[in-house]
Amino acid sequence: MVNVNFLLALKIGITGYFTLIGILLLFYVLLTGFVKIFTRSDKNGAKKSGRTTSE
Amino acid sequence: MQELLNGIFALNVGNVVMIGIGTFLIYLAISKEYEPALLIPIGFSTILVNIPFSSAIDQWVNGVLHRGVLSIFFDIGIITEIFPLLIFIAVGAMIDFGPLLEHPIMFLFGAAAQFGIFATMVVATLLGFDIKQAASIGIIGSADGPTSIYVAGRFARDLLGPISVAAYSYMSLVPIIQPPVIKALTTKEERKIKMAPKGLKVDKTAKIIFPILVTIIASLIAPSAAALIGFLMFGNLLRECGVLNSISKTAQTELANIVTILLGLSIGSTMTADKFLQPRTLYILLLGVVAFVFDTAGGVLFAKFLNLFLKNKINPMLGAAGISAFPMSARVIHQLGRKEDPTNYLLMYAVGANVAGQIGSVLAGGILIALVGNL
Repeated sequence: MVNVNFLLALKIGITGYFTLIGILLLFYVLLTGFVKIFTRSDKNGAKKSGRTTSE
Repeated sequence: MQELLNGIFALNVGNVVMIGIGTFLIYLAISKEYEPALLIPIGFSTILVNIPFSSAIDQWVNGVLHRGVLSIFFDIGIITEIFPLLIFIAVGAMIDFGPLLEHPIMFLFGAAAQFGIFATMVVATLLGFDIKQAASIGIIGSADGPTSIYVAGRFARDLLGPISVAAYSYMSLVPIIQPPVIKALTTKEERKIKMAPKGLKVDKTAKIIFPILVTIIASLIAPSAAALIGFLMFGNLLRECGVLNSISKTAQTELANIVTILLGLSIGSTMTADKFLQPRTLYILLLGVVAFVFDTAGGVLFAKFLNLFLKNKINPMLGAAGISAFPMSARVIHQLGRKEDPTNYLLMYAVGANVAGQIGSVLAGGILIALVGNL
């Protein structure tokens, strides 16, 4: 007999894992854009976002 | 006179074994330094609650309930979920998300390396655990003590003792558990892959906005994770805002220490012989290792999968750093990289993946609560 809990856990496991990957993928996309706005190069101190170093 | 000897006469084999286990936990904490802040209170509390008629836990005397202080701690701290959430403030105040902001791709490993949670939950059902118990056991794979306690406190309070002991013990054993799994799944050449330094600096403003944004977005997507992620990020905001340095320091030290003591004592109060000395405890301890192995494998294999599409390959060992055991896992990956090639410097990437694992594990806890809670 197929274990009902097993099938349920399998369904929840697959749904949960891929939901988690989906959420963090969304975070990755948002964070990449966010970081572009707020990072600056460490080499010459010039801000990537176009701001000057005096800001 | 007879009353004074009641405790001695009522002592049974189970009590003696549990007192031995409590002593062993204290030994591990002191001599092996396995999470001493937690295991010493848990071990001592285990001894205390296994003394027959101990006034430290609730006792019925002539039909009247005499409340014990450890039972009260458990009720006000674990059942209400206050202790794990307070720990999250402390953890958030300790974390620097800078390395993650500098290497956003590491976010993906924070998700991939939670594979052990879900895989172990499935395996647990094959051993006869019901779905809520299985979810509570699977969450050991979050490699995150407070998340494990939070989820197990909701779904399987009777399993809280072994789950907490497994979660905290295996976190200490990350340097032993992870390397053989990583080596089995990667080639020497893959382990030698170097990650180019990005040379970017993240603005202070970004570090302040980050916890607020993560809280809003994560809570909107997974409202069941709002308390967990919110308290973690609140702690981080205290750290990054720059105007609450003394409070941030208090959260990292005094708050963390006080709540850890109370949390440990509360968990120990559940470790009575009748609840702990059962075959299922051995299964839980075994499944805890399985969860950490699956986590590591999930992270490494996901990195290898990404490499199929990437021009600049990622060192697949970094995937294993996506578990939440911070900073232990990042250190392990960095050291493994240096072992293969002493000029390879993976630390900042590994720390990025590791702090992403903090967020990933909390979200995984929230997702489990949402999916299992309504069953």
